[in-house]
Amino acid sequence: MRSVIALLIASVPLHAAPTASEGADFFENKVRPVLANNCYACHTNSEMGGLRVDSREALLKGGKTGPAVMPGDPEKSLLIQAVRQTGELKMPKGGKLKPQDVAALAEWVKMGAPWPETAQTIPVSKSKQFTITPEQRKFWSFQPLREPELPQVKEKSWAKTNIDRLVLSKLESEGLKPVAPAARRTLIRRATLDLIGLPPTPDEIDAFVADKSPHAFEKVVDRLLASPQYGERWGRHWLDVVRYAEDDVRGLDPKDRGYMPFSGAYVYRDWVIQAFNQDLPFDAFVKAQLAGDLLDQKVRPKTVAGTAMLGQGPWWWDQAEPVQGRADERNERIDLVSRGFLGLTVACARCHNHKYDPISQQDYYALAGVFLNTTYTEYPTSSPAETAAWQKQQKKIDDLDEELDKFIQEEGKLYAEVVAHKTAKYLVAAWKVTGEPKMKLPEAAAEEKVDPELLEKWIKFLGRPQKHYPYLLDWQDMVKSGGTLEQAQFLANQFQDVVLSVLAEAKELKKENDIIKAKADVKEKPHRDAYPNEFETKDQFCPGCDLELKTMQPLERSSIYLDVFVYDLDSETEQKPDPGLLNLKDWSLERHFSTEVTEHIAAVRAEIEALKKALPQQFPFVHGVGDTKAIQNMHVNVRGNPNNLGDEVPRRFLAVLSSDEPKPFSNGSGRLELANAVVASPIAARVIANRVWKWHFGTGIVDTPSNFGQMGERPTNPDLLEYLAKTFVDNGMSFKKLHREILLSSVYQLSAESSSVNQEKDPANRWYWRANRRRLDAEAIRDSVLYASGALDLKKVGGPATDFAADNDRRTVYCKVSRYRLNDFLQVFDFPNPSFTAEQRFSTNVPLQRLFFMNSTFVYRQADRLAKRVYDEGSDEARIRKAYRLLYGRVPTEAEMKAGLEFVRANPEKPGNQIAGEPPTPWKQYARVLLSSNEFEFVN
Amino acid sequence: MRHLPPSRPVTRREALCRMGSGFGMLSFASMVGQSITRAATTLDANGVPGARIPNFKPKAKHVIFLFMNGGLSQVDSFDPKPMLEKYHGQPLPGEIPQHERKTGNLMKSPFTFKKYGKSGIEVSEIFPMLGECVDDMCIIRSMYTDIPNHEPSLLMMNVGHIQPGRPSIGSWITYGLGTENRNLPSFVVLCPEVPTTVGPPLWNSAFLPPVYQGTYISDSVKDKKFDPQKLIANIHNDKFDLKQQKSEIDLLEKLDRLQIEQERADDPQLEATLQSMETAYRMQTEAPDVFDVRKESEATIKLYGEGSTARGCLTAARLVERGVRMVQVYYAKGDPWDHHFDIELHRKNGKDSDQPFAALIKDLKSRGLFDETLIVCGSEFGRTPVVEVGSGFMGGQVHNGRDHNPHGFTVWLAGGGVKGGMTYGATDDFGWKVADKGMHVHDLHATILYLLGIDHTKLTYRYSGRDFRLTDVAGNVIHDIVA
Repeated sequence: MRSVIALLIASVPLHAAPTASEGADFFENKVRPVLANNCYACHTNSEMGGLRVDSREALLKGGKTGPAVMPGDPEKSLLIQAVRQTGELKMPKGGKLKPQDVAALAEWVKMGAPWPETAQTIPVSKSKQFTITPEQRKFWSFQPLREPELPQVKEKSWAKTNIDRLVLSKLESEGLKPVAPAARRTLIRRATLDLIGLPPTPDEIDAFVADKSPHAFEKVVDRLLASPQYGERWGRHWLDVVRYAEDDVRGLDPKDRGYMPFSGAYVYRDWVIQAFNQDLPFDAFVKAQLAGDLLDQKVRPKTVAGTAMLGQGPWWWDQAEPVQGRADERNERIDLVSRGFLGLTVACARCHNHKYDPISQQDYYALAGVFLNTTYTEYPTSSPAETAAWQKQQKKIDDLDEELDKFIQEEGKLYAEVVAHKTAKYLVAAWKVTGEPKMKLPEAAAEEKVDPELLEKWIKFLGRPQKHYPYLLDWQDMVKSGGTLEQAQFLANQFQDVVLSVLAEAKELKKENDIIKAKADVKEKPHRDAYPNEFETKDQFCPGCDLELKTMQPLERSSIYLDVFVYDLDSETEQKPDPGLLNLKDWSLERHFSTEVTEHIAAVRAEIEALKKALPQQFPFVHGVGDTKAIQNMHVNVRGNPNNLGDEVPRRFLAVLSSDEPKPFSNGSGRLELANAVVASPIAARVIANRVWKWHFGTGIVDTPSNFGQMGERPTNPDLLEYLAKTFVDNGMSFKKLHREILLSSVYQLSAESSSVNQEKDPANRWYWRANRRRLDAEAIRDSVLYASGALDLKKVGGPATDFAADNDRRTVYCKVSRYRLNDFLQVFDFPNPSFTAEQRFSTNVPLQRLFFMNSTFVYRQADRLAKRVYDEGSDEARIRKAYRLLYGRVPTEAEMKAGLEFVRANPEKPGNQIAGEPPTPWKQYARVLLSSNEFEFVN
Repeated sequence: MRHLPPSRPVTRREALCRMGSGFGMLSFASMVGQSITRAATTLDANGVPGARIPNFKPKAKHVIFLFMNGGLSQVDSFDPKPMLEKYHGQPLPGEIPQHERKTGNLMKSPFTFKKYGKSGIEVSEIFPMLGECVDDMCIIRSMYTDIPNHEPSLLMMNVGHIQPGRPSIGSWITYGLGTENRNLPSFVVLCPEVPTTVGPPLWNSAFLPPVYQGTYISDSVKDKKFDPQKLIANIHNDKFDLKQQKSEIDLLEKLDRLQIEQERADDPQLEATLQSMETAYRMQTEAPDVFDVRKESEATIKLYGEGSTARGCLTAARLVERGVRMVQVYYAKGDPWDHHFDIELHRKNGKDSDQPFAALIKDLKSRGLFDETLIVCGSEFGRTPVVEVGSGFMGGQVHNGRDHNPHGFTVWLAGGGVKGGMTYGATDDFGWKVADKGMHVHDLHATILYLLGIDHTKLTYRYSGRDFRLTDVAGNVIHDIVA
């Protein structure tokens, strides 16, 4: 019966839907918006799974898994099964429709899936013209910022601020109740760690707990926001987004393979910290980082440091063919800017139009064009005279180093040539030792006036296996058969002739090859601090590799040359062959030098050392960017292949974020125009407001903070996000004002306690009915430990990064961040990979973290200091109380006191073992246990 | 919780902390249920999720990747070409494929080849002991990759992409399968000295959670003060013995429990730190022990011989014996097999690696691990059959070497589910380009994952707006080599 109806409906003309106007209204109001907002991204032009959902025919035809809609029968319709997510097929990918939408779709199918006549199919884009449909434009994150209506709530007294009303309204509508507010001690610890990344001092806690003023917490927040440590905390959050690092992975660095530091990287890091401390408005902050070199002359000195965001790489030009490497660098910048600032994954449109979001390949190459015309540029922060002086001295050191190497090499070659002329003598001497005379080596050496050490090498060499040294065959036969001196002398002379002739040939060939190279103007290998913009051609990448040079022929001759003058393939040293017979190095060589030569070498070495010592600390650079001279547009790279060029694309902003057709950029690279367009985009305000919220609460309102597109999450509380973004913009994009408003809300001040009802309905706390308990991040852990031990050096601010040495007492934000090899501590505590823009930090719990607390020199050192701080008290009880006060800001409970006393008294130090002026060992152990506790490592 | 994708059994944050033992990380993929379809999670006695059920029945549980970094020459090792001998010194007929530097005429191999085993597969004189194992080896003679430079090709072989920034194959495998031993890192990288060319990005977890990073361990034998206690950061406590430590841990647990009670905190994160503390405590004994190859019998040590590669291979066997998922053994830092100017240098490298490689096959067999351990051995690319004539070394006057060749090279596999005593595919008459059954690096990766029971198209991770996988959008499982 059902199938008959289906057949009937399917066969009637489309415009004659059974329930004409009613069906049409239902479709337009309830169905089309659902399809457009949730399904069009993948199932129109992209035809994922072979399915389109923008016409009735398409739905009836279906995709790879069969017809999507069986008119009249929701149960049998794949579309309905998919959105109900009851079977294998679950749609939309990564989300779920609202129940009312699912119901509407089912109802519509039941009605026979009426599709009104006016409903237009989205034109199939066969041409290169990429169209953004009105539905796509209506996607939530592209909309202008709106001022949300502030809802009425039941618990009026709880809702102190606008944020509270928006949160509470959501909670109430979902049947959730906020838990009790946090205790004051908990609250001040949370706020202090949150805003400055350090725990509060006991005095600060006491003062806040005792402060009866209604503005007590406000005072705390204002004090923290004014603290210079605020920038060190919040600047670091931002550095995650811009994948700040102090070096790059560079294969061609000739001095220290694989590792290339940006010596002045810290200038940018310090600039970011200052920007936060001075509450630089976000739009100015962004503009400086994208185009600080293009801003007005008057502000430029203050903004140019921001361009290091782009200048400090990662640069990949020497990882592959330059053309490919450069294309990948541009892709990285697009990924950074689009995800970091706009919450859009524009890099997805490199090879084809974006599969989900209305971003075309043209959009991608319009942005790529901006970076095509942006090149690495250094801006010294010292005077030109200072800069020049430093560079001059550094160059002197490099030159001397190189000269000395060359000199010793040449001397070595000369010496090899001298001893090569004594080959026959060495062979005869060798015969005297290994042949009939059976002389002792020193005697034979003395008789032939040769060097005994080298003679030993010769003897070893002459005994090498014939298989690989066929030219030794005659000699070895002669020795074996008891050859005479005459026979030995004859072969010795013959071999000397061969050795000298291959040497002469090698020298001659070198001369000829040098001429060939000179004609081809081969550049030397890149210099020590080759800039990221120095490689454009294959010849720079591999100098001289395209030349054809002259070669010693035949193979056997070059084998003799290599064995005698270059390396010993049968040496025992693993991995690298030892130098060849006459290729002397280091002491073996230098001991043959004349006094004059030796003195010269010593003098130059001393000079280099002295110069190195006298070299002042390198003046800081901004490793920034500038515009190239000749401005060009990109061509579309067909299927992402930089060698397969399509149409030229003018530089411009993303079409979907522009109200009309986006205007081409006309000012240099277009970075300033790009920066202006970015900060004017509502989506940029939403993205940063959501990031700030996530950094405060642990989860975002959109918990895919760098993806506000189709495949990202939808806001759990859209009005709240609108409010935050709108307020942020209205307040001049001030971070500090946003923090203040968030911290003073009731929702920020909730406790972390659980509630079974809430837990059931919202286990992930996505509507914020309580505070999230969070493990401290890497920086906060290290800084807190230092703070508790009393060792943290807050005065030494900024400047070159320091190592993670156990005795480094600076804040972690000033420690080294390496792309090449991330520090173990950072790695273990989930520091994000500094090669990519990071949208969040993971918070794992792995045994290596426990090992850090159990065994690291750093924690030992701090625990000892803490024990010392505590041990000054008069009694064990007072000591434990002080430890609790310093670490947790509270009094120990009776049980805790008991456990502590038992521990420190169980294994008293043996008399005489205690070091004078230091607490007994059990106290040091006790201090370490307290530092390792959950209470210390988590914030709630 | 209808705002959350229903496929997630727990929130990501909870999942990550529940992992508890993340050196001993469990299969993250299985917990967030976001990638491998039908991933199943089982809970052990402590309620900790354990190994998941893979897509296919796995044929191997571990991988040992022996990396001859720099570029092993196929025509001098496993892919003999009589035509090279015949046409030595003559130009290559036809079009010359893309490579890095200027090259000249065809050059015969300075090494002789010999038939080994029942299969009669020919192996060059630089690998005589390995030749004896040829009936256990599956020699793929038709590998190819994309770019004739070390960095991109090293990356392709290790992370499946020519730029840094993708997760290493070892990270993908541990992400997908978790580990069997929570007291040891599950992805270990052994190389005498870091950096190799490219270096740590080769074993980086990139956008996968940092727990999937390879743990790099220097196994240089040059360091006379070799101390297994120093190999892993903070693994050893030289101030307190285990008993004293235990008393500290007991106190800590007591205090942490008191705090949980006081705050009535029901939070899996807090419970998890207690567990990982226990694991960390046990790791202190187990981890240094596994790296201490001196504990092996004299016969075993002799089987492997001396040197870094020998120690690397033996350590690898000990690691997989204890449940480590993937071990990579690099020959040495830099590009040690990169013999542009004198291919005879291969003889030197062969001497260092022939015995350890053969020993590894024999030793895994005697430990009963050969069938469950997949050995992969190869380079980022091969070398040209023609001599290189460009500039660079000794003024350019000596040329017995070969340039980079991405168009055809050899990788061999053994153990864990591959057929022994076979060759797969072929290069042309001179050994330059693939002529039959080409196997791209993506195909190799797909096949390795298949042997581990993973469908390479389903092992995905959502990052930057799309699902990433080791094989990108390519890769075919080569079933012909599967036993």
